[in-house]
Amino acid sequence: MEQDKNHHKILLNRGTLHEFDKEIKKIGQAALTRINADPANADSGLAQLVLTLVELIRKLIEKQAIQRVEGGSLTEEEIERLGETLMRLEMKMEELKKTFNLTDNDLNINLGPLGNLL
Amino acid sequence: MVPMQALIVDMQYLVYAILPFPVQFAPLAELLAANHGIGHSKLETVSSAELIAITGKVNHQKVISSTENALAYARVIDELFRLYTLLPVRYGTVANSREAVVSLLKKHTHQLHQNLDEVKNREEFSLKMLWKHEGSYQYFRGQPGAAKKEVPIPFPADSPQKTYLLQKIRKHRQENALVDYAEQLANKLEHWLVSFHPTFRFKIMVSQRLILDATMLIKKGYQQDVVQAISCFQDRYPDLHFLLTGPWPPYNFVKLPNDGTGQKSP
Repeated sequence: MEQDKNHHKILLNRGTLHEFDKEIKKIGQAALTRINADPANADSGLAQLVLTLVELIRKLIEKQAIQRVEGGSLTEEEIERLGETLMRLEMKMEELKKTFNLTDNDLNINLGPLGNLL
Repeated sequence: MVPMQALIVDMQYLVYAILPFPVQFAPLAELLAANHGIGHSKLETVSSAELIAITGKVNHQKVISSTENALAYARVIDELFRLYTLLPVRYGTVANSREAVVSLLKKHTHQLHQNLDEVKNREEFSLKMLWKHEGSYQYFRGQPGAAKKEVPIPFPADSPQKTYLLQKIRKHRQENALVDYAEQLANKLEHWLVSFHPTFRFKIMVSQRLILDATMLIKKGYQQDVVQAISCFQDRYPDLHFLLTGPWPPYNFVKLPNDGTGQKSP
């Protein structure tokens, strides 16, 4: 009955509801991600929190670096060094995720109006 | 949504919506008697001199955040919205007593009235636009509105470091192009519906596939025309799936500064 009522709210849909549902659930998943604050798992909860912040900062650094490269103000040598740094940062992040048994989804928190982190 | 707050006690007044005076009390009383709120609670009015809050008593210990409760809350607002201009109050907003509700109404009277004027006789529609294909970045290239010519790469890929950086740059460019495209789409939609004098809220690039999430407030009585207009707009974008829903109460057009008093989710 409730479902019928809600279907009456659909005024135009040339795709399938399943597709929208799938996408919205995927987006909602990040919103549901919570830092594990259980006393028994305090270590992994803290690691998740710290790595989430590290990942956010890494993404910001990456964006800023790309803007600098696109701006054309860097020398060949500087570009080479920047590439090396970003590569290492990403590799280090992968290592840390493995160490703490975390996936990208665990770090994909919802930042409210800014959207999802990853 | 109107944020409000109160301390937590066992029985509280859960606030559903705010209506302006004057309303005809007989049909309102009838409507409230015919419906019930979360946890089958009786619906009642709490009024200040100029505004009416629709409330229901709940025991916050027993009221949990569930689909059933969210639907019960939405159903109350929907029923009220059939007859009245209203401001839906954020799900889970509770006050300790009738006096606390009255005090909140008094405190925000001016802003609530202003907001009620903005949504008066208008209803909300939601339009979501989704890429038909997974991997929208790849698919997006070559689509109408996408950057036609590739910007030259700023350096040769003659080392692993540079190759890595170039991959990042390409991804960054694709992301930017997709954001530009979504923004253009939002502008075109605004122009397309200009005759309805809508008020829009846009969320651009909610995800890689859900590139535009638009909510619009449109004068009541134009539903069929809006559907037709959006249907024609969809014809221009065969690679996008549109989902238009409504009419809804003005959930996304309630604006009141959060005064730090917050709210409690059941």
